[in-house]
Amino acid sequence: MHISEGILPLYLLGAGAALGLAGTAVGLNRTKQDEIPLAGVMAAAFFVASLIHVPLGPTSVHLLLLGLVGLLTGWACFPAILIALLLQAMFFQYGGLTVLGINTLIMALPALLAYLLCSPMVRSAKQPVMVAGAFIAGAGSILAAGLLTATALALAGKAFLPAAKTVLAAHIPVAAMEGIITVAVVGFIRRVKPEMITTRSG
Amino acid sequence: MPCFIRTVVPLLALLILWPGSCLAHGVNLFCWIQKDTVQCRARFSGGRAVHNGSWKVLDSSTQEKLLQGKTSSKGRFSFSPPRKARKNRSHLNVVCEASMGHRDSWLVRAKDYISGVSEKEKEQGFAAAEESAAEKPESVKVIRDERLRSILRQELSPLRKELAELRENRISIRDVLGGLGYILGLFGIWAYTASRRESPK
Repeated sequence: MHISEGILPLYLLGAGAALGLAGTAVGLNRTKQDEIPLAGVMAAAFFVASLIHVPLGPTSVHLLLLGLVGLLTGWACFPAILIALLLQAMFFQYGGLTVLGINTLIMALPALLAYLLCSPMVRSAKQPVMVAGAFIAGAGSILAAGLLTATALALAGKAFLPAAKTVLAAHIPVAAMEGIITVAVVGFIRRVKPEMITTRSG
Repeated sequence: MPCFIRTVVPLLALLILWPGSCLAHGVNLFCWIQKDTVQCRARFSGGRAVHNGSWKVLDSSTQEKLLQGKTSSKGRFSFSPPRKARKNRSHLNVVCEASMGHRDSWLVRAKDYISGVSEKEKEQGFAAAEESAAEKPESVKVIRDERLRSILRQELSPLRKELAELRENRISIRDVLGGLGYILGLFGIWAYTASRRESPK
């Protein structure tokens, strides 16, 4: 889902960079001191998750853990994802420096949405509600990121529907997997360290 | 549920720590010259072929599009450089684009695909060959410069292909650990400055 360099027009790169930077600034401001280490851990998880390949569909996809990053870090997902993407661009040649802003936006926005929309459900004492919330956060964030990618490609002059179809079709297995993983990890955290999820002020 | 967690979480941890899973995506394109055609192969960095990806060839100085097409199911395509490019001795920029915004490019230099040598080189080469032919006894077979070049080209083409393959981006465990180290450092700096801000002594 990393858009490569040389595909998007300049104005999109600029807009993406501006919005990505704004989100990062808000994230840096709103993150309390004791939430920074967790943001770092999630940045690391996001960084390595991209190495886990899901060999399904006509193209090549990998885990992103967006829902999990969002649920656990809140607004800090912007700086966390920005740093992880920067290092992926440097070490793995994914994306690139000029597309860093827009790629950050494409991935951090769904993570933030997962946090804003699903964390009340995830904090619920009822287990089915918690499971549903975590699954929606995990799977929904991937599909949302796919739609954003397709939108960016459409703005760059590619036909939206085929682009959206390919991106979504390729990411449905990943979305399902991410949903399950998010449920498992959130369930695990709820058991061993519930304050990680329930006491976040955001 | 707890049983589920006990199986999934360690499995996930194993996957993350497993160096063999260092397969990534992103497109890798590489091209090599075989006789008069440029052979290209596009793969995802996991090793899977990019099928039905679109490719185009640009003149690298003018950015003019010279050729275009789709990759085969094995991610292969080939083309012979157009006459115009040969005439201008222009470098060719081969670009391959897979779906979802993945792309890569490869530069084919003029001297690699133009089999003929320049007039000046030719004159020098022939002069040298004739000179040495005059000195040597009759039994030694004189190989003309042009012919020698084409033999060398043919013999070296597998080597070139291997070199091209070596240039592919592969992710090593060092990259992963390096990245994690950076993350640790950057978030450490952030936590440090935040701690100074929130508790001034």
